[in-house]
Amino acid sequence: MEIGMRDIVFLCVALLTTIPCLIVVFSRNVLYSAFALFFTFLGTSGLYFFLDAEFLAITQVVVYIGGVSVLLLFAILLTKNVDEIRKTNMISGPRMALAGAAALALLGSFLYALKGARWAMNGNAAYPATTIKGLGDLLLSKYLLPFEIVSILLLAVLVGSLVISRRSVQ
Amino acid sequence: MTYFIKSYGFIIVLLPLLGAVVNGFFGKRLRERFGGTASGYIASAMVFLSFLLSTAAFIVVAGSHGAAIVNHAYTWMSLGTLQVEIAFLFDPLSAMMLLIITGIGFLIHVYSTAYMHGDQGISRYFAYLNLFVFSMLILVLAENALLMFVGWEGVGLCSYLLIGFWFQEKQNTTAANKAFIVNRVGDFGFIAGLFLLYWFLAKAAGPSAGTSILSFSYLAEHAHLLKDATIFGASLATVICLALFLGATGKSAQIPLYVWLPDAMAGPTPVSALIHAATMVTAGVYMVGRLNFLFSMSHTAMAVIAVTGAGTALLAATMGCLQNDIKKVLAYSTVSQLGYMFLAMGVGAWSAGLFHVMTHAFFKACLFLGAGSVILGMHHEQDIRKMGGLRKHMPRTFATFALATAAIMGMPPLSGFFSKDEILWQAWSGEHGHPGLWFAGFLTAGITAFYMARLLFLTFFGETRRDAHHNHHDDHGEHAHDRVISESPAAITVPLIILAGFSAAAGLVGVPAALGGSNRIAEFLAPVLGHHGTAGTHDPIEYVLMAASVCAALAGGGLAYLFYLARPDIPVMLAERLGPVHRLVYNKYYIDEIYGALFVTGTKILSRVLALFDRHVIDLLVNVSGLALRTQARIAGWFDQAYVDGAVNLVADSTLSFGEQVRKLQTGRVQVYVLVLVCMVALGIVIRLMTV
Amino acid sequence: MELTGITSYIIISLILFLAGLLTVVSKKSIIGIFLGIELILNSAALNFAAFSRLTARNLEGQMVSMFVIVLAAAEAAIALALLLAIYKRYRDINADNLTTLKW
Repeated sequence: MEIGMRDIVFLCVALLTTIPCLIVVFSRNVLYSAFALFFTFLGTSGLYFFLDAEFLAITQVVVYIGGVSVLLLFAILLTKNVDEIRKTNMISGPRMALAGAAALALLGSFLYALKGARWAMNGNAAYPATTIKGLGDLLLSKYLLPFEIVSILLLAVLVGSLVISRRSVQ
Repeated sequence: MTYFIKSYGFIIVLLPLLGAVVNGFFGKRLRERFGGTASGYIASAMVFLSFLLSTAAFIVVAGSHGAAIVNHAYTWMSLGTLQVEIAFLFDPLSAMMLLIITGIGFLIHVYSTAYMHGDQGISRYFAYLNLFVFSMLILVLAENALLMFVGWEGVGLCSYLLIGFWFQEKQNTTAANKAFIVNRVGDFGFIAGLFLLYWFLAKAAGPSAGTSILSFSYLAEHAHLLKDATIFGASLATVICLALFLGATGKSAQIPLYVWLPDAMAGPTPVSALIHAATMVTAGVYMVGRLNFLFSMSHTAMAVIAVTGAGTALLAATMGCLQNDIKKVLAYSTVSQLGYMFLAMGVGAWSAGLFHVMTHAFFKACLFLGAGSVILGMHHEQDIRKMGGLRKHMPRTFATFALATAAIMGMPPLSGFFSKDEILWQAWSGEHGHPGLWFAGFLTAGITAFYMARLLFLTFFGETRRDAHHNHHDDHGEHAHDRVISESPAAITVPLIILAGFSAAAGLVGVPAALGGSNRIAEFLAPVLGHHGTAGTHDPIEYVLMAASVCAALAGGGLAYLFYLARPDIPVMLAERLGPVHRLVYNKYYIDEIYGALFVTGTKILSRVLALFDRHVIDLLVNVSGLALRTQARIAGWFDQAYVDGAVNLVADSTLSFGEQVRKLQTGRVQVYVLVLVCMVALGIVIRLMTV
Repeated sequence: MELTGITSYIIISLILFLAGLLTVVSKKSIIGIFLGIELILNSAALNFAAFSRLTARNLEGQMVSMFVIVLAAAEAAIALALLLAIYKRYRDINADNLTTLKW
């Protein structure tokens, strides 16, 4: 198997995605976990570039890294005593053991299923060169209704999160 | 204009929804700013706009010679072979229903503005009414069976909401619940039929992704695949048709599920006119007509439909003869007329049945609205024994009511005559027809004429009996003088006059060939329903049958005249002479009581039996085993006794500790729930992979 | 087999998903659970995008990914608000101590 430059970069990005997520699982320091998650998001964004989904990649960076990660850090700072940050993300041993066993079983069966899997390839269709235009078209035609519903949802989230976190909660 | 319908046909459906939203969400504010009448005007305007567009659609459809126009509005879901579109089908059948729904709907909206004037919940009322029109339009315009089901459920919901509109009174909510629950039984049949249909066609036809299996065009094309299929040893087509017909019996109030309709009269009278006479209850007939290609594949199902229809027609007509509530009489009459329509469907006379749907919509809506006008004039008195002589006080109501009564009796040349005789002729001569079915229809025609004439005579003729039965009005002193009977306002009488005009004239679109007409409605509907037996157009028997049914109607009317105007002592005497029969019919054959005993009490009894079983049989087992143990212990001495005690204690202790363990599962910690879920899923997948 | 083929993406998203699952189940603090949920959502979005590009070859899957991202952002905002509300009320964000579900 010829390994080209593209494959090497892909491997790096894949590792950038998967290794930090193990840190997310096993670190006992919530700050480490949060920063590891940051790298996972970054790696996923890179994978989107490999999938020719530029718009998705950029959205990933803007929303996850710019939005969710920062929110996460705020959440940590507002609720944690920074002095004892080392013990802030404790793991429950028995639950971890059980869940680990289940996860291993799932991993095994999925890999086994993957071995013989055949995908219904739609090989004839031409993939659009720039996806942003296509996405825009889809968003304003076929997916107009979900789009509008999502915008109402976001409005509801805006109002709802304000209501929930008001100072005086009865 | 074709383009407009093809691209924007959904606007017809959305307008009433808009009205419902405005009235539902902003009704209170509207009332504060513009007064109570604003809701009614908005609702009526929406339905009127919808009616104008419907007229345009009708013209387009009529001009396109039966080619169906489909408006694809939105892809609802696309999951592999399950492709469901929100698409609206404009073809002769749906165009005709469209005109009936929006046209009569508009008149009833206008009527309601006067009838519900001053009611506290008037904007709620109009929101429900608009929502109903919206659902009904979805039902008839749906291009696939699943969307039709959405409308089907929607009208059921609106019917429930409107029957229980005056929910402050317990009996109204009970009636609403009854309607909803009985309809649920039918809906179960409908959805089961759809499942079977989808399951079989997805298997048999092997469609590629993207074809909408449940769309009517696909069904019509592939229905032949059902021909030799069987399920549990019965023909699949028959099973599906009977399941769908169960749905129709629920919605259209046929035996055995008709019991909800008479109780549904608890709702406001315009609601009874719109929902429980003109439109919703004919949904079952429409569904059978829409899926006629399916039903014609099963002779068994057709026979069941015809016999059910004839039976319902006859049974409900006899019940109608002795009712004293003006709306109840009309309700049983509706059930009976719906039976007529199913009789037509069952003998394969699709267009005759739908013709009757149309004429019935006109004259029954007119009758109900007339009854509403009477009720309003009588200050909410519904007992016809206390009416009488109203023809002098309410001339316009009387004239329209009399015309509609003549139409339902089948007097030529009014609309009821043509549609009823078409059905009777097809029941006699049609492909699936049978003289027995004709005779049931013939009898029903006579009885119908009798009870409708009775209603007319008791309400409008003779002298007023208002104070004969109770004098408590005098207790109010000068208040009694305010209660004059007067004609209703124009918003009520104008719809009545229009509807009466249509009840008189609508039959002219279906003049049979035997009378020199060309049965234009059958021609118009032929692209959907196909041509059916017009053979023997000049069969002399047809004239004989026509004459016979007119004679039956005249005889019924004459009998009613004799009983209730000329010799009012006869019915009293007959009732005494035929005591048991009279009581049986007067109490509607005790069918409500039988259902109550069978299903409601049945469930209660079942639970009690189970409790008794628990108490006696299981306890007995425990006692017996206890006795056995005691005997054994006595025989075997202290060692055994200790051993048995130990066993009993072991059982008790293990149960207790098991309970303790199980209790821990319910920790209240979400993560543990997720953990259990994950473990179970993993276990399931591993087991599945191992057994492959 | 190509390295940048569909299988690689499935394996990557599988790892993300299982890591997320482990995190959700085993972490004691609510923030930890929240991190896990984000991982699971990411895995789903990645999977949709991969199938959209490599087998279906159209943009529908990407569309779903985008909605997933938007919903994840909405969820993050609500989660933070809930977190603050819980913290204010209990002075604690240890999920094990929040057992009001069991009354």
